Amino acid sequence: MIRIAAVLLMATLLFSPLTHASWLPTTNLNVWNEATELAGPKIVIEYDLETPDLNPASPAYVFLHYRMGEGENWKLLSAELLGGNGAGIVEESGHKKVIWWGASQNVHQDVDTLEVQVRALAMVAVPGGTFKLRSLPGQGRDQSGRHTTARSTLPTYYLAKYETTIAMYADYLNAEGQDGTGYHEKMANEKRCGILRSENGTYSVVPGRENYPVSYVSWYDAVGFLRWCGLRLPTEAEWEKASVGGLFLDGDETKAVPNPMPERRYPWGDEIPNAEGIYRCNFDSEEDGYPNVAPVGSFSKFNSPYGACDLAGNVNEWTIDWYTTQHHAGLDGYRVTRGGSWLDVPEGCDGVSGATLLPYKESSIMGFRGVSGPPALP
Amino acid sequence: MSTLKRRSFLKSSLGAAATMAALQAGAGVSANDKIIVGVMGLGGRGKSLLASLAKRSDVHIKYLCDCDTRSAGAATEIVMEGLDEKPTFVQDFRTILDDPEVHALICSTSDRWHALATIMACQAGKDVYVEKPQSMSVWDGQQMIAAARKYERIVQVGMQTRSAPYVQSAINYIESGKLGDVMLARVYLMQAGGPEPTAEEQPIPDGLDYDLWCGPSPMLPYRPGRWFQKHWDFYNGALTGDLIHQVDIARLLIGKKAPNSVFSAGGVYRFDDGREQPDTQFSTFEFDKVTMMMEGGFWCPYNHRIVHLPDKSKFPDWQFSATKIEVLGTQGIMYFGRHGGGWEVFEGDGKTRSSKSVASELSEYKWGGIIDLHFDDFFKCIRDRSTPKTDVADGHHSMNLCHLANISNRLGNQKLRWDGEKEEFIDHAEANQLLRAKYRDPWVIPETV
Repeated sequence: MIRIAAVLLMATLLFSPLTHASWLPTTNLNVWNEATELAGPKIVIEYDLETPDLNPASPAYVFLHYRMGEGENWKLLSAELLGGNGAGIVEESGHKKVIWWGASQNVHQDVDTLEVQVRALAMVAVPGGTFKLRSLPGQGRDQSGRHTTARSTLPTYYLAKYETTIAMYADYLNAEGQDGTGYHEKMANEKRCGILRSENGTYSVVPGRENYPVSYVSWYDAVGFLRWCGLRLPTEAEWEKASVGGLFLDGDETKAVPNPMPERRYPWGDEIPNAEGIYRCNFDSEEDGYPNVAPVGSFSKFNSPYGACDLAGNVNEWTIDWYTTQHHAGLDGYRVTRGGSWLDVPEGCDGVSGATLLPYKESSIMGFRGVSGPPALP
Repeated sequence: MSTLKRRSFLKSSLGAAATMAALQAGAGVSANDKIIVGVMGLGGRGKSLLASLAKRSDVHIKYLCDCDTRSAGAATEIVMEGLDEKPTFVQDFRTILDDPEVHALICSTSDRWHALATIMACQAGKDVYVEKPQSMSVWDGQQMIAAARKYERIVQVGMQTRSAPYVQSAINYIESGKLGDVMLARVYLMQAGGPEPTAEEQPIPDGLDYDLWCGPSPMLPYRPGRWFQKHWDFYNGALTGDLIHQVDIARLLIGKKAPNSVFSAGGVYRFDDGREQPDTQFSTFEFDKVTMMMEGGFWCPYNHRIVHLPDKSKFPDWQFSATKIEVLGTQGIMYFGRHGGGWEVFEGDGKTRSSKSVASELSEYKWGGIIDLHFDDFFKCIRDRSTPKTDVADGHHSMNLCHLANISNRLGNQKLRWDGEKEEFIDHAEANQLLRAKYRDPWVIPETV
């Protein structure tokens, strides 16, 4: 191994630790080049992932960006090009090592200016298998084309445990949105969002709003953020399965943990969100403790069978599926949303009903979360 | 959220209607007062209308209403963002009608509720904006007019193209005689389409008053999705349900009220998805010497709707316009586009044996802008009690053409003769049986409004 001190120093000094609580904490980033005789630069990225409770059911999704010097654009490091144990879905905390075979064949002089960022996001695993699909995804035009309402089978995928937070989104804007892309003035609303844009094109979060879900995001904004992460929006079917669970919660491969309520309406069961005076999610009531949005994870006692938080209520969530009907000419391209919001009645926060919205709509009730899994298209 | 429990329709609504109307009819709204409305039906169309209403400083949206409580959030958000006020959400539209503060009902439900909600609102002394297609039958429309007139209510139908400024210039052009003698009008809905899926039966979800949602239509087993639009008892059909816009403008442009006859060709030729209404429908209406042809088909991917055109500063490519209207005279042909498509007249040049554009008007207003104008007209009429640009009677006469075409189709594409004064088919008892829709008790269009 040939350690190039300059690279190590450069990478370490230029890496800005991401202190937002919404990303899982990563520390001790170290980057160096192991020169190979003939095969070009072999870049090693090491870091520590300090979340103690990672496991196969609740892993992290780790994604890395790099740039070749200040002023250059940050680029996503495709997980497919990486080896080691520290990129993509990571099921254990601790020291991580990623092997990257370089940004180009133009080797050492580029490596000298390399900068790397690492971010980690809490996920839940949804094991592959059959589930009872009760909705009609995409109003019959599910983009994946693989589903029926009787039963549906999905391969294993991973869903973000929480709705995308304001802190995460502001981080994205600072990386990608200097020209205003992805930002809307309504986001400055401190009660419903709380992201401020300065004259020089940088973004800050209103103190105390970091862990609230981002809102006023269009479908395109959501897609933009998730592309930056290397993720995508869930299909309706994925969203629904994550909410109600498969027939076996450990998946069809082992079938050891039957889902006691595979046709539940809500992530926790069939009780409406305010049954018996217990508030199970953030809907349209101040009695649930939140007149507007709530910080993500505020109702963690009422997670989905896989541990996903806030699938019911808080912000309505974009899916990748669209609504179309040839039966009323011209209605094509409405995107399907799931989960209800802080402005919905309790029954509007169920796991099996979809709503529709135009994709450019920037709404105070709209948010999103990402999926890591096979492509949505067959 | 407040929810009204089911009660006797006849006792609470019709019985009290005359009293309510007597108290409220003619109660004008001063220029400085906001017009107080309730919006019934919060699906896609309802939210589109709310987006327009929420821009208005002269309106207070007091109620949002839908049988399905799950639709409340997105609709409420539109109002809160636009007007910084939070409407009261109700499941039962009679709460709106019972509130003496409310001036007008905006009805943006699916077809089956349009007529009865309009009639009940008139009886309650409310003005009404009702979405198209306004009726499920000729009888529905007749009773809507009767109620509007009896209770002196403004009833505007949501065929908003009439409010586009370029309509009047088109009428003026035709009336000037520059088109020659008008002989033929053709209206189109020829575009891409596809089958509509039907999900399996499911338990009725929490928060949905499915009985009220079905309303006058049969209470079939619950399924998610738009399966219901494939049934005559719920819906006028995808073709005539949208062709009504073009039919209405064509009838306005040629200045005709009722045809003497109708006959149709077509049927369910393309999509084997259980639909009852045709996916292919060509209907011809004879108005003395003028003929109107209505062409509908969902198998034309080469045609495009004007609202989808990438460059809206230009005229549509008329040849490939999915929703155009053509008015053919002995001197020229006028192409007219809804959704802000403007109009253009072509005449032939005998010397060059070619045709060229000789007159035209682009539309400054498009799509949502025209909805705004239509509401401008509605709220003006509420204040000054003048007749709206798409009065319920105008809508009725246009909708009759769609009903006639559908009845011809349902009777095996028979040619039927029509008495426009009596509004009945001539010597055809079977066809006349279809002049009234089926209603589910208690949601029946009353004999006497």
